Amino acid sequence: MPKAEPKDLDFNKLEAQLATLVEAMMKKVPYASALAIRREGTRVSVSSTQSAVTPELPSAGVVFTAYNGESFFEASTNRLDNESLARCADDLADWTASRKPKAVKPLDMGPALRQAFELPVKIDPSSWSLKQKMTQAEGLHARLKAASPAVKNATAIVGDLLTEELFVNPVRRLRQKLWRVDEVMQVLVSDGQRTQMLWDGLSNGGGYEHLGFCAPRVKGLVADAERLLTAKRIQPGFTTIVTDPEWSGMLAHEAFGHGTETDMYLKDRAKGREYMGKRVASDLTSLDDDPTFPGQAATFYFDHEGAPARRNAIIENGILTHGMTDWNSAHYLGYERSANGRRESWERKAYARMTNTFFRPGKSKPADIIASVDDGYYLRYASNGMEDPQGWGIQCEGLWAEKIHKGKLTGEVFSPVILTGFVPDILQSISMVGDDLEITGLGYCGKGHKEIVKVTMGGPHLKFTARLA
Amino acid sequence: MSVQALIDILEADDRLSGWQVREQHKRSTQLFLNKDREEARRSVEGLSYEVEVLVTRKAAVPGSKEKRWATGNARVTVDPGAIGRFKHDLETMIASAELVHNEAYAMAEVTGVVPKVALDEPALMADAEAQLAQGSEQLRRAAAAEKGVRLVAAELFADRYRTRYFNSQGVNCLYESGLISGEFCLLADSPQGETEVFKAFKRRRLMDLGLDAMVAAAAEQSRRRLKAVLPQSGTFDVVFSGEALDHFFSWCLTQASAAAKYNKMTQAEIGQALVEPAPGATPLNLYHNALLPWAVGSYKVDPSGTLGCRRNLIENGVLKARVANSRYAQYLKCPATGELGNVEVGAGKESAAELLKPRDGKPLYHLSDFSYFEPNGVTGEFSTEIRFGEELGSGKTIKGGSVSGLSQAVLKTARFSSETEQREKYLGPSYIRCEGLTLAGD
Repeated sequence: MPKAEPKDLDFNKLEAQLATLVEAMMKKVPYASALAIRREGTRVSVSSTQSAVTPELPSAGVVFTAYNGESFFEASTNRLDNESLARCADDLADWTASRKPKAVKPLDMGPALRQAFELPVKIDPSSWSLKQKMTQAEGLHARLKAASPAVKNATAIVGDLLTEELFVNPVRRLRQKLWRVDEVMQVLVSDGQRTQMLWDGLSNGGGYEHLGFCAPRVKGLVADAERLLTAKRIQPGFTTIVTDPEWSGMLAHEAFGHGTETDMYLKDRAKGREYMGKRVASDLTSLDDDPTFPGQAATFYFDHEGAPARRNAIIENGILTHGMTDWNSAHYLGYERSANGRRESWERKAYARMTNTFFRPGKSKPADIIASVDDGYYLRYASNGMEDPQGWGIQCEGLWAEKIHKGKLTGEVFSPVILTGFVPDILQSISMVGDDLEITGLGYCGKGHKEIVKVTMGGPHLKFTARLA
Repeated sequence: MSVQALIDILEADDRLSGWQVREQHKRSTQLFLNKDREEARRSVEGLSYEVEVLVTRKAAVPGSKEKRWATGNARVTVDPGAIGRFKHDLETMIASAELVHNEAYAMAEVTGVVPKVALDEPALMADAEAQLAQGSEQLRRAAAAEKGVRLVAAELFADRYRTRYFNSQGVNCLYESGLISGEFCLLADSPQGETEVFKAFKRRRLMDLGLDAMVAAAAEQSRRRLKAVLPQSGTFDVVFSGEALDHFFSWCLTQASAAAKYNKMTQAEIGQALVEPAPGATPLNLYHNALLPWAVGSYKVDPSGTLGCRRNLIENGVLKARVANSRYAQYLKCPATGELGNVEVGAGKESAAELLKPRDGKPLYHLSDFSYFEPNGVTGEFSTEIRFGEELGSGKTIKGGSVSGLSQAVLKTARFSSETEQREKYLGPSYIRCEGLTLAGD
């Protein structure tokens, strides 16, 4: 490997430059800021049919924001030479100043902050050679292939991503450096008639100290995939459900994650606004969104609008207490800002978005939860979901529903499975909450059908009733 | 420095068995409406160079002393400010490619003349701001004309691209393209409550969005949802329309995909019947079409350098050809079609009115809006929450519950309407009637 050259983008130099440009913009508009985002990483993928080593070269862009007293205007570019940046900032300030507001509503910029943060890393991914990363993926792939003759294709992925962000406004200068690592495995099994795919893995904030998650789970994953080959179709209906932490997380995300994004409140698109301070779930239920949760893939120190990260209690013992804000919605709704203003990239707008969203653990042992079910299903392998914050409908899909009868798992598996229903009905039916907590970072989240950001979701085992099909 | 600087470096490096460069200059104008307030407006300018290199050499076959030709590739995106260090980055790319020993392949060759296909509407390319102003005004006016509903949110994006593609085999293509996309949300109020209808859209021309008609249909849907009920539970015939069409044929496309075949996600062979139509069912004729004028999936050259084309993939239910980019075409020794463009499906003979008639006194459901509808490409299974539909006969509006089925079973008895429509990446029947689907509702 060639020795690394100095980075092209010098954040010290850029910080000074953006500060100067923001200061100049502030002479024309009531508020201005700049955000720089830079990413680089590696992704190694080994499958039974092909492999790939994909270095993600350093890539960066800058977003300038200006506020005219009523609306936010932005200009983004990845041309980072002095002249292009100055022109971008200047044009935006002029444009914004020319848009006269109907009514001026001054922004509260909050207290001054100047700080640089770095997510702790034990094993720096950049200290590993490409060959080492390839060897790690090849080892995992070999285990997957060897697990069963039914495995027709297996894929092992090892990846890392370094995100560096710089935020500058008249009172804040913030920098953060965030490493993320991914270790993912996927198997495709077939009995000659049916084919099934199943996956597992991790995506965590931090370094390569997180690797090693998959290896001990290979046999279980392959065995589960083979069981899916004989899975039956489930008889639709209302039933008692026990969810594993991954399914609980999807429920948290779809049910009350999206439903409390306050930019949706501002547009009358989320029922949550009417229910602030009211009961929305059983009193066993508490839900957090927490970008400070250590070691998670959506952990950070400040959001893309310069709000410092903090834990946000969304539901406390069944009562809806807080929403998740971007700056615009907090400003117009009069809410305290939370650190949920997030962007897909420098090319996109900031919206109110989730970070690490999860149900808090309760007091029941997972085994006791299963034992308490007379007839019902145990759900594992959540795959995807969709929200309807205005109608409070929910759709969660997964690959595994195992029949529970007289307090015991029967081994009878149904697939696929879809859970639908009215969110308050589902959450108010939560009757047992496990004392465990697992968070998965494999997922991404869209707003509507776009604006993809990394999120994590999780929780303990939950017991409730809902419609399964 | 420019794209030529990259090409010069790549051409001079004899360790490479192939390379391609895709330069893309993107300009985007974005408008965000919050009720009647302009919440935000954004402009984006981005220039990037997607570079891929191939390194082909003899490598040991795992488990034997034999050596065979193998190719490794590396693909990166280079920022405009990073061209100056590309020589260094190329070393990283070659080091990456040398770790990989995939079956040998080469870059796409020149196979003909770059096709003519309409992708760049002059009005959009000339003045994106004006297009957004026109679109937002159209949305506001159309919503204001509807009783009992209000526009609570909308986004409009006008994206313009200038793309230049070069590869080591001599493919050289410059083209411009435009996209206008967005979403809107209508809310209907009544003393019983509120319901919203959310619509997302993407086309290459503002005129193709049909915003007036889209708003009118969404408004009607929104008003009717106020009185909606759950469907019955059981097995029923269902007519799909609207957004169900966008992904209805996902399973078929996986069966016809060269990449899926190579990666063992399908066992289907050319000449095999994927769908054997039952009497009365519409035989399935499905095409990959990258040349459909103004369609979102159309292109002149795909990301791996293959020229756009139209190809019959499934004829009367039988797999006839595969959709294959240059690499998988070489692996499976089949003609390259380029990556999947638009899906074109042959129409049926019956009118929509005929398909929408209940039979034998049994309820028939017409479903058009879902939380998310996409059959699993590998297994064919689908299951989705219903956002809007109608129980034909009783006239009840349906919302909630779910519909489930298996694509390969459903297609055996499916009947397609003679009426067709063009959607984002779909041209085909507007209505598809399916037998025996599972509904979970009341």
